[in-house]
Amino acid sequence: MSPATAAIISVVLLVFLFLLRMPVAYVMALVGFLGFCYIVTVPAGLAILAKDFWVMFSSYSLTVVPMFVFMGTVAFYSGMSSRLYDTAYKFIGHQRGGLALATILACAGFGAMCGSTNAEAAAMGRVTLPEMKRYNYDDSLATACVAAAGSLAILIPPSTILIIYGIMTEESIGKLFAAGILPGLLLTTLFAITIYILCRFKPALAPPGAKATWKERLVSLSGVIEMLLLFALVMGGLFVGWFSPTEAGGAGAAGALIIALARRRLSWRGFLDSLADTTRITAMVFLIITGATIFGHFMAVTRVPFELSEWVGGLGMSPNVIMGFIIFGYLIGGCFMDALAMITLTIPILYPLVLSLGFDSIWFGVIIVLVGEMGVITPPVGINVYVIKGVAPDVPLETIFKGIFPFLGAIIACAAILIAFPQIATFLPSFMLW
Amino acid sequence: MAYFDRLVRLLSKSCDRIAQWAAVAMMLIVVGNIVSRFVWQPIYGTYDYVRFIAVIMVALALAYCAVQRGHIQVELVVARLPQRVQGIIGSITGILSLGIFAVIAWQCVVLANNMRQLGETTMTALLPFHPYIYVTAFGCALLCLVILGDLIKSLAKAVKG
Repeated sequence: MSPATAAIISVVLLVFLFLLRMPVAYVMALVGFLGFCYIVTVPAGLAILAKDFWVMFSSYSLTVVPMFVFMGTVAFYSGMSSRLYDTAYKFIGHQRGGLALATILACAGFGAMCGSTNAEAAAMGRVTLPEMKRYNYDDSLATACVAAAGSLAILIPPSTILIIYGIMTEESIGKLFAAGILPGLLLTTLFAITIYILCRFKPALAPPGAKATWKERLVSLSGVIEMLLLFALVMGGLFVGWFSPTEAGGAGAAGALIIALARRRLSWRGFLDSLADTTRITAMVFLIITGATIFGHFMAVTRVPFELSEWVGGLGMSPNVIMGFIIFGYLIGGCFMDALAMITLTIPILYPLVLSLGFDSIWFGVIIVLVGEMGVITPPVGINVYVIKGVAPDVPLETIFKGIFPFLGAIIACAAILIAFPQIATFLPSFMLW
Repeated sequence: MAYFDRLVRLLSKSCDRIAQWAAVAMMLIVVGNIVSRFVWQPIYGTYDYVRFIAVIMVALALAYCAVQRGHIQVELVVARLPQRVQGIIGSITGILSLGIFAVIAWQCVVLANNMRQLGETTMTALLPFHPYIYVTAFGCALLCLVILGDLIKSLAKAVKG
């Protein structure tokens, strides 16, 4: 059997085992190991298995993951998400669609402290849905806007997906974070426009909320100030070159803890819960990256990624058309697989192709995040939709999915704008020297 | 079976608790190093300490993450099948999962033994590698116990329906 045939069989086996509910990380490690043993030798396969586990578990670059996850969980358990919503609510809640707009803005703000999309959807869903229900918002719009806006967490830095993309492609995490800022703001605007248009045509979807006084509004601003302080500490330190990404995460976690303690908003139970969430998410992320690394090593010895890029390059198609196909493939794959799993699985295969087509690797990282965002809200495996269903058990899944489509359109529009104007993603990183 | 389940759960939860404090330790060392660098000089060996704390944190959290069903899996197909078929599928994937993690744990022990014999250490703090590779092996072995517990449940489901 040729290496290319072995690679194709392994991908089929991989998908088959995924469908049998075997954890994605276990499958990638198993198939990668068996494939490596077949193509090279069994002793080489055994050696690479232990080596990859050890190298990934002791990777300094990966320690950025637990630090940023810790920062996000502390921010959540100390109620920063609800304070952000409170601010946005007091300023625009009295407008038609104002609570949904406040949800989008609060999600964008919390995205600057939290890098995990489902954590953000869960956090913001608990805060925003009861308010929107109180003002008779349409269930479909209310639930879908939180599910969609929750995905902003992986575009606006810090972002777990950008960190993992950076580690897998050896790209600068600082530059990737910088690249996510403008597209994050663009997508926030597109989400807001979507809500505006929906409310314009169907005002009953989102009745106005209560109007706050200017005094109440000014008092509520403390919720934004703490977010800005934390964001300035983390991203400022990273951009100026004071911190490495891990140090930025550590400083962010410490900063979030100091703010929480100073405001007396974090209970001992909340602190322990934030730690428990941190280790659970960290273990999941490390194991999936390790599995993807083993699978990636197998793919590399088959030379399939390089042959694929040579083959596609020889087709004579426009790179933008090929990128369109790649995005479409991710969109379909995202319907059935978790974004993180899909990205870790496909990066070793597609990254050489994307570079050979002449695309900027930083820009592609942002595109990958956008397609990941589509994946977390598209049926039938849109994780954010299930998270929101958990927060609002009385709303049927179909109702949430029905509301998702306008927001999915906004993400697709954002991807199209980024393909037309890649500078939106590459502008800020160009100011960074490293 | 219930006793085995409880024991594995308790053991993995205790290890996860250690992992949680490792996360705090990592944050303190990272921040301590930043502060120390600004006021005086960096803490010597921070890079090595952070890496090895990460090993402790991840390896000891693996099993409890599996207990909480934290490792990503595709629920789409199997959840719609009859209980007995789910049991059969769970048994097959359980055996495969147990197999791969048993091999990983074994190979980590082999790697750690080699490192110990060669006396390999880090460049700056001169910390030996092998204790942390043993921790990785232990974490994988503990994950094997969690998988074994699930496998026994799946086998029972496959037999009884």
